[in-house]
Amino acid sequence: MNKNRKIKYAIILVSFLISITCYAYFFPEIQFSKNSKDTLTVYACGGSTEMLNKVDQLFEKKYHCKINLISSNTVEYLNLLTHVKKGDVVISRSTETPEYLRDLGAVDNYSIAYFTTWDIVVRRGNPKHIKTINDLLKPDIKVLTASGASINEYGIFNQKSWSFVSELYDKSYKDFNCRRAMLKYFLDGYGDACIVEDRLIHDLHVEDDVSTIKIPWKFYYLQSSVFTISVLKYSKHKELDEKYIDFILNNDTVKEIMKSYGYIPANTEEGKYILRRYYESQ
Amino acid sequence: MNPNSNNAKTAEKSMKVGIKSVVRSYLFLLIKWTFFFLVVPGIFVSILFCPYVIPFIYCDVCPVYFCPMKIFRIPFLIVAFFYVLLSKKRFYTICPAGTLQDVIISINKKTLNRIKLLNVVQRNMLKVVRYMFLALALILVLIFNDPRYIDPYHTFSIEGLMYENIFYYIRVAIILSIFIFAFFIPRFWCKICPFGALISLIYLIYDKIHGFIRRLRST
Repeated sequence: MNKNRKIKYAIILVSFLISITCYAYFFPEIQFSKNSKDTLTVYACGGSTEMLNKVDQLFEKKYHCKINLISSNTVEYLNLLTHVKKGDVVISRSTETPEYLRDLGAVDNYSIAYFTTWDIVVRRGNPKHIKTINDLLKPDIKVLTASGASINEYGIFNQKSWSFVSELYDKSYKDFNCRRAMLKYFLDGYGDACIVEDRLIHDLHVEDDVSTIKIPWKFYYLQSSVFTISVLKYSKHKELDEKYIDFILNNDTVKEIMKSYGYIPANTEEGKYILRRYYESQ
Repeated sequence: MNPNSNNAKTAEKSMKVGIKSVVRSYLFLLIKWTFFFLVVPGIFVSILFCPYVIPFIYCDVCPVYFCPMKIFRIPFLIVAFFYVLLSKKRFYTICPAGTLQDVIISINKKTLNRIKLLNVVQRNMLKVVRYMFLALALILVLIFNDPRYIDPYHTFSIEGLMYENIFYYIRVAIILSIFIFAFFIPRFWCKICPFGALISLIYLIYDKIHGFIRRLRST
């Protein structure tokens, strides 16, 4: 073999090693290497990462353990659960996901942990005098909408309100695939109103820049606002898992943190009211 | 001035140029093969799992978490852009799909050794097909690549492989036949690649504008 060919093969080998390193660094399975004795792996979806990070810090201090929070969208973590089969606790959006996991044999049961609420966001002081969701259909109100695959107004409202949603899409000022991008666009000064989750306003720290109008619960499709928590069957820290779930459901400081991030803990007066309504609607 | 010292200087200069070009060619090889190893698994994942009619467009919102293109698509395009800009080489020299075809044809060389070279008429016919592919791809992206048509739950199961969509089967058939053709015709896909057609259109426009400016300057 001549010298040039040797160098060529060496370069191919080096590029192969670079690629392997990139794959090892970027791929999600690498996160499981952190799964040790005193580390709890928690999957969470639906955008409550910021709040859970704060809650997890408290839990870590109290129980002298570590939490490996894997935050992703539902499909991504379902992929991880089906292929990798590792982890301890799952916090999912809707009750459909844990039921799907139960069918897969990954969990036994689940608890409803907290709710998220949806707001109509308007400019500070509400200059257009928007009071109800029907005001959004007025011709002089420019409404930003989001009609992406997994995030759209059909998912927020119950079926009785879908005609309102179609009318809203018909007069949409600008449509988005991402609510965070939509809110940022709104904050840049475009449009008069948009519908976002309350937690998004807290995540972006724009509470003082906008006014919000709560959407009454009777319009909700409750699956869009419920968060559930469940222990995975293949967890190796059952005792710690139970402590974590109890911490999320019953700890008063956690409830305060949840409220400060725009969530409603299930184990409160308001939470119980929604819970009753939720089961009534089933 | 001593003529010998002049000769020594030119020899030194040419040696420096020689070393530079050798280093440059090795660097080029490194970029080319790194791209190849990073992107080729993504090509195979997209053949089997990509839920979109045209792959590599909506990778950011795609639910197939294990697809390498989700991570490597944007860095690849940025590096490729600067590579083309700085090295003044054409994109096809580092295109991972092109490198894959080179590997396929080298297998043919070492086994069957039956390589078919196309004549001018055949190449021109494929050029027409190439622009038709580009038009078709643009239409499909604009009309049928809407993520709202996709049920993401299909993509992580076995049913994901058998995606119930006519476009999925058409795409798989096209890609498999391309692999077969690429085994006999060197760089067959490059001759009909819609992305290549788009790039060559950009080059064509650039050349026209460049030529026009040169003519203006000379007059």
